[in-house]
Amino acid sequence: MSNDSMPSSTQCSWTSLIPTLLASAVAAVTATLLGIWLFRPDLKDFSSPTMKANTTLGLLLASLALILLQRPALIRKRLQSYLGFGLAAFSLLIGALHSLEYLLDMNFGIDELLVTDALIPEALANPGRMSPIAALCFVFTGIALLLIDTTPKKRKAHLPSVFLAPVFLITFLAVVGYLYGVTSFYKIGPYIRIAWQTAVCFLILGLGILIARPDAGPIYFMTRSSVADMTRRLLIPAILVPVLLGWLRLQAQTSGYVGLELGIAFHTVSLVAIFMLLVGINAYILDRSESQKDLLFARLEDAIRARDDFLSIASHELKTPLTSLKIQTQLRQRLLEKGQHEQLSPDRLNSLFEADNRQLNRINRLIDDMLDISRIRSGQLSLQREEVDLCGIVREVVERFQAQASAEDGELSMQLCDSVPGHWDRFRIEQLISNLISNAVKYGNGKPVVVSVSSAGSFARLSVKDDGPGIAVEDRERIFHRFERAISANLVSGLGLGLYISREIARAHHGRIWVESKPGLGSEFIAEIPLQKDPPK
Amino acid sequence: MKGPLILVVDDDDSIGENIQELLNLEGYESLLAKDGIEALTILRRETDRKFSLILLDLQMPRMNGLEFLAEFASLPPQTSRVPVLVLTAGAAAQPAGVAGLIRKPFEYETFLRLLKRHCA
Repeated sequence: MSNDSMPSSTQCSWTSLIPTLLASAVAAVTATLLGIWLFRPDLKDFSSPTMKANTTLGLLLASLALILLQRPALIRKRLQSYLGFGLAAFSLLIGALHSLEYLLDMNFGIDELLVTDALIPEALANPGRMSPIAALCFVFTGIALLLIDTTPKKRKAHLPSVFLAPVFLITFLAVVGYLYGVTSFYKIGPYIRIAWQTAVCFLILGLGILIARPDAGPIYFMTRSSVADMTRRLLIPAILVPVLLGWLRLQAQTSGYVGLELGIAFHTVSLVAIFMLLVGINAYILDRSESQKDLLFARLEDAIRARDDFLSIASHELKTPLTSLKIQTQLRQRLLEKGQHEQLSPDRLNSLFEADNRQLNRINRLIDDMLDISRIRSGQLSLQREEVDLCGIVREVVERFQAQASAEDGELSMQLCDSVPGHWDRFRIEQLISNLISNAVKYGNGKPVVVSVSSAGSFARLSVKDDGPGIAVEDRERIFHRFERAISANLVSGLGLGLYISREIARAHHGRIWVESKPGLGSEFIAEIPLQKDPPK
Repeated sequence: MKGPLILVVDDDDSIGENIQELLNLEGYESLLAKDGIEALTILRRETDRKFSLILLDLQMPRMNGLEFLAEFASLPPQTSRVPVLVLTAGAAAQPAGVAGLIRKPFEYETFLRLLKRHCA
């Protein structure tokens, strides 16, 4: 999951949902326990350490505070955060007062403010008082909640995490103790102990506080897209594996089969082995992402190079017709200066203007191609479909090329074609056909070019076959890419966009375009376009 | 009276014809080649005619300007001594061994001045 580009105020994102769920779970449990304390103390099982009434209240307040402090705010932002910080401060106060009681060895009379707790025989010294561990956890959790919005300056610690770290350590120790059945983990002496429910609630609440502000602290670093994969793989094993190993060692040693020395040895060796495995996995992931990055970088460099080449080709191509126009314009001025008006007769001028127009059209076509590229890039190559006859369009284009053909061009012919009607964008289809034909003429080495149209089922098929040098296998896909051409830019003019645009036109019509060729034996460009917008599957 | 003879080498029909028209108006004689190969053919064929200048495009199919220059250098001395003016629409630097470089599109007056200088 990446939060790099995610604004922190995204509605209903996991960063507000998860802490709310966690805090709600804690609130539900503590509210239930508080209810039992207040109304049905007879239901309580006092055989194991229990969450004290004050603890249930403090945890309830802290979890409600976290719900209120979530982002985005549910009701009114200011009111909600004042309330949230108020509740957090109150739970901090509960923890601070109990801590003071222990520190000063005094009884403020708050222990049994809610309920009398004379039911636990061992706790008679201070009935109803929460453990010093729980009191400390309240202080730290409360501070973390109050500081939840502090964003760390560069290279400074994330304060909520700093205060939550001891809470995690203390409560995790207690939870592991309960899991292993080792009382000394959660019970130091007769009074210093923490109920497993309390420990779990603090763990969950701490986690919720960290997740509630994912744009800072450890959650920020662990969920960045570059490392999220690693976090996902390593986080769970890093917590579970040591816990499991410790449990195994404890079982082995308490069973008596394994002594302390052997236990330590096994524990150490297996920890090392597992750490090595995690290091290996980590290295593998890093290496893979590194090579992906290298690949991306290489592709980026290629793209930039292609664009630079394109810029120089494009300016060259634009300058060529401009040069003709400029010579012509200045020639006419010169003729006027020299008084050679007979050279500027209406007939002569007319043919000159026609020539100018051809050059202007050439510039316009180049610019249109470039505009098409940006249209395609932004996904705006929209079609204006109408009922058109492919044979008719092809015939028009072929006739236009025949009219413009120069002496060196090969013969351009069209195979007989009745009518292949379809629902297409006339302008774009015409563009596709003339791109293919102009390529065939350009690369055809003056040999004949044959155009044919047929319909095959629900598809129309256009084929443009030349007798040119053919296209090598490795070039047959490349030539359809942007700014690419069959042979180096020095040899043939043009922007290197024709086939790319043609393929995009075919794609926009849900069709395809490809080349079949044998080096030395010419090439055949084939376009298959569905007759209708939604072809039967 | 015939003016100096100039060989125009350019693959673009329109530019080639326009330059020929310009040269004609300014009193030059010209021949047109569409690429390096055609230019070499003309130079080898028309040995009895004295070329005053070659106007050479760089980017052409089949044989480009630079390839032409390499071949041109190995022609008999009376031909290979003909000055070459490179005309380019690209950003290329002036190739070694040529008399000058003109960037397209060019100013009529500048072009004319260079023609006069090199055909003298």
